[in-house]
Amino acid sequence: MTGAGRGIEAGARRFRGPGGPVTNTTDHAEHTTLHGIGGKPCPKCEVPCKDLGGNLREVYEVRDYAIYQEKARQLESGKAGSTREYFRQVGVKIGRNVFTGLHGVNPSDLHKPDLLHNIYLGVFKHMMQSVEGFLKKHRQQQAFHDAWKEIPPYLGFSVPKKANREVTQWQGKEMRNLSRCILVVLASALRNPDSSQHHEFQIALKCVSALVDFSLMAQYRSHTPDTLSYLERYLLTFHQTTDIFLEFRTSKATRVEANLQDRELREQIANERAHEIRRTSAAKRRRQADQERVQRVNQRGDLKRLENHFNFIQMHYLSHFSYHVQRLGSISMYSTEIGKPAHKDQIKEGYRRSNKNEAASQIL
Amino acid sequence: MRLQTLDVLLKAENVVEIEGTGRETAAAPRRILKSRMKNVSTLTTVCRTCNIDYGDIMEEMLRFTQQTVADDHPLSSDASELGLLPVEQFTQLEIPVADFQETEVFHIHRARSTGTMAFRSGGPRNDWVWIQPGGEDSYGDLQGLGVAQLLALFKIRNVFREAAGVQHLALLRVLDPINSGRFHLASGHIQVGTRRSRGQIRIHDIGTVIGQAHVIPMGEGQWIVNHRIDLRTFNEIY
Repeated sequence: MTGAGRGIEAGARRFRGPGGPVTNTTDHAEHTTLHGIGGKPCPKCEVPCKDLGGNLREVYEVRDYAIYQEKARQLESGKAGSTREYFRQVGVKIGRNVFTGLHGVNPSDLHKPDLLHNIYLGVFKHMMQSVEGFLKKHRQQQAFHDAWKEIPPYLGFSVPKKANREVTQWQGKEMRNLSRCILVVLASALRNPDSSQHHEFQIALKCVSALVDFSLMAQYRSHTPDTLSYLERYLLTFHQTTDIFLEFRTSKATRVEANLQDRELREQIANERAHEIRRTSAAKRRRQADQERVQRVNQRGDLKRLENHFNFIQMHYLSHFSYHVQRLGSISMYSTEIGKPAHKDQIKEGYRRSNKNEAASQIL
Repeated sequence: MRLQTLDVLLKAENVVEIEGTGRETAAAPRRILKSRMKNVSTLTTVCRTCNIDYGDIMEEMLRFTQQTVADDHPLSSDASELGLLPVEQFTQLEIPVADFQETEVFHIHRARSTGTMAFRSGGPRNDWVWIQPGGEDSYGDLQGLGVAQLLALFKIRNVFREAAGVQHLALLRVLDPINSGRFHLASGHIQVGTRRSRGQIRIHDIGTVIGQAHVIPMGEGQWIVNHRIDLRTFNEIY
C-alpha cells in the first residue's frame, strides 16, 4: 500500500531503544504487592484514587520510594507521629518494599505499561460492559448481534465463533480481536438513529473510536513526536467523551444504595397518601402515580450521576503511556502478551517433556 | 512510506523474510495464483462457475484488452477469438504484504474466490481486497485505494500470437466510496457501496490487488471499511 502515513517527516526524532530494568510482573495486583502500596493507587505517581479516571492535565508527583523508606525508619524509631497519616494519604502500606536498597533501581520505574492487562483486559473489558448497557438502553442489541455475525476472516484475526453476549469470560486474545472490529460492528449497529438518539450515538462512537485508535497507536514499534501527539489527542478525546457511558458504570454498592433510597421514598409517599382524603378521581390517581414514577427515576438518576465514575487504575495507566515511550521506548516491548506464550513454550512444554522428577534442572 | 526504523532504512542487503514460512528471498515475493479449479478451460466455463453473464465478462475483457500496453502481450480484441483462448481458474491468490515498520518481512494475505462453489463445507467465499487502480488523488481519504470483491481468478494464454503471453487476471466487483470517500465524523470510518452505473464488474491484472480488505455489511448494498483491522492499514488510512 502506498500513502503518506500519519504525517511523519524524514529525519524526525524517533523514540525507540532499550528500556531500563524490567520486572516480570503482570497485573496491577502483583505490582501493588511488590511496591508495598494499597490496592488502588498508582505505583508510579501519587495520584489520589478519586482522580484516577480523569484530570489529564494535572501532573502528579512521581513516587519517591527513598522518602517512604526514610519515613518508615522514623516510624520504627517512634520519632514521627504523623507518618501513618502520610502513608495513608499517598496510599502506601509499608514503607520498605522489596526493591528498597537495591543499587541503581528506582521502584517507580519498574512498572511498565502493559497492552494486555491495561488495555485489552482492563479498559476494553470495562468499555464492553458499558457498550452492552448502552445497546440495551437504546434497544440495538439485535443489530449489534447481526453485525457481529457478519465479521469476515482476515489474516491474524480469528472470526468469533460465539455471539458477543454468549461469551462469559474474555481472554486477552479475544479482547485483542474485539478491539480490531468493535468499532465497525458498533457503527453498523447504530446506523439508524432517531432524532433523539443521534447525538448520543455520535458521542458513543467517538468515544470507542478514540480508545481503539489509542490502543493501535500504542502498538507502534517506533514513535516520533507526531505519533505521540496523536496518542495524547486520542486519550484526551476518550476522556472527554466517556461521560456517555457513565450511567452504565453503576457499582453493586451504588445499586444497593439506590434501592434503599427508592424504598424510603416509596414509604414516604405512601405515608403522605395515607393522610390525604381517600376520595380522589381515577385521573388524579393516575397523575399522582406518574409523578411518583418520575420522582423515583430522577432520584435514582441523580444518585448514579453522583456515585458512578471511571476511577479505576487501568484508566489512569493510559496517561503514562506517552511519557513512557519518550523515556524507555515502545510499549509493545514490555507487553506481557509476549511473556505469556513464552511461558507456555519454555516452561510448560519443557515440563511435559521432562520425567517430572526434579523437572527444573531438565527444563533449564 | 513513513515510520520505518533507521536500522531498516540503512540496511544494505535486500533479503526479505516471509512470515510464518521461514523462507527468505532476495527480492520482494510475487503474487501467486493457487488451487486450480478442475473442468475450467474457457471464459464460458469461468462465467458458469461464478454465475456471471457471458456478455458482461466479454465486454469487460475487451475493455481490458484495449487498455493493455502493447509490450504486455495484449490479448486479441476479437470477441470470438477471446472466447476460444485457454483459461485456467484458481481459488486462491497469495499477496505478499510488507510488515508494518519493517521492510524485510512480508505477510502473505490469502485472498480466496470460490465463485459459487462451497469453501470447506461452508458457503461460497469471495474475499474483499484492496485495489489500486489509479493515483493517490482519487477516492478521498482512501488515497487512491479501492475496495473490491474477488469474483474469479484466472490465467488466460494468448495462443494466437507468436510471442504467446499469459495474463494473470482477477475478475472484481468494484465498490465506490460513499460521501466521496470522506471519514464519518464521529467514528472515523469510510463507507463504500455498490456502483449505480454500469461497470461494477472489472477485470484487472492481479498486480493491482494489493492486499486483503476487511469490510462489514451495513444495510442493503453498503459496507463499512474496517481500516483498524491491522496497524499497516490503520497507518495508511487516517
